[in-house]
Amino acid sequence: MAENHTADHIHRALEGDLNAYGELVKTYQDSVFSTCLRVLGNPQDAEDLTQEAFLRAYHKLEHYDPSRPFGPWIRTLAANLCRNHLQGRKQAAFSLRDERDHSAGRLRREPERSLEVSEREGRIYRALWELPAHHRLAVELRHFQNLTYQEMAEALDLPLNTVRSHLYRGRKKLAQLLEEK
Amino acid sequence: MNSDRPNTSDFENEPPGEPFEEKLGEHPEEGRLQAYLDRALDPQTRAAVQAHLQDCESCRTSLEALQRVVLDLESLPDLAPGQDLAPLVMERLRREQSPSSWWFWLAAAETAAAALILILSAPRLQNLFHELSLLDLGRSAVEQAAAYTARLTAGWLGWWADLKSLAEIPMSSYTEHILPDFGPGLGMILALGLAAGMLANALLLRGQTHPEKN
Repeated sequence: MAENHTADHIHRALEGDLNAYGELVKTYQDSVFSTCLRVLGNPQDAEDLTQEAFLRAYHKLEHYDPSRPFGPWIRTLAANLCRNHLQGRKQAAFSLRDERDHSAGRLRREPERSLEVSEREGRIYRALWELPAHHRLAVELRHFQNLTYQEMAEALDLPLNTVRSHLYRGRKKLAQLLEEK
Repeated sequence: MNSDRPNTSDFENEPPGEPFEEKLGEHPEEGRLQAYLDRALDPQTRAAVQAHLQDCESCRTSLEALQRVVLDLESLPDLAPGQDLAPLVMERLRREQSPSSWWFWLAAAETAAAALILILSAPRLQNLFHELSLLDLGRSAVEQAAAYTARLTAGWLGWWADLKSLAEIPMSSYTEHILPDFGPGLGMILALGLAAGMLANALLLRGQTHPEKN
């Protein structure tokens, strides 16, 4: 049912109905924001990049293949924007600037309180944000967007074996961190 | 949790990867365990890894650790942003499409300026069209094209000479002599420029008001 509504909203948005696109934003903003937050670890940046992802998606709507679900499409687009954002700041892990960012710093130390999630979920977020950005991205695309290795390689513009390696190292490090915590 | 989040499932069209060459009793390489977890192995390799796992506690432990990570990650709920982003996104899209944006006025001013110049050079354009209408229909297309090109080139040269002479002529003489005396090429250039400008403006407007079509 939700996908029917999505298809209808996309169709109307392509005909210039901005309100229909607004409905799409309302439906998918939580999942897109969550993608950005998992990759960036900074709520303010995550909100900015979520908006940017929806603006880009609006202008690329004609490229969207309606036979595939809209959610993974826009979240992969958002993940790529986050990657470019991180690359633009030339950081593999979080930068000093982030450490000075009080809210982001507190979020990474105490995600349970900042995000109002359970202690167990807080541990998972903390572990995720300890990964290098490229490992985090691989984990995001595989686990949250369900991309195949080949699709991940295309989305990240990396060789297949590199993507496999990033994913494996990310998972292994996560397993280690979650065992410790 | 968002209901449209996909579940981990078998890969489709995944390249099979390298054949499973581990000898009996050897541990599968780490990447292969991951591919097993992701169901990205061909059936033969998958069966071989499965058989190994039955006898190897160390590999089972590694696989279980990876499986726990998958379960942990998939248990994370979607979180809402601090504010509803839909009005913000729509406002930005409306601003992009708004005719009050600076680019609209720039385009309008550009079109108005081009139109004014075109009107001022109308007498010259009239002469040019008159000359073009005198083309001899009895001549071949190549000869006609050559004649047209020669006239246009002469017009360009005349226009260039006019431009160079502008610096030497007092401003008071400008409106009396220069405007009425532009070369015919200038009229054509202005007409083409105006048409190109209007087309560019139309495309710009379309690009700002509709999702891209390419």
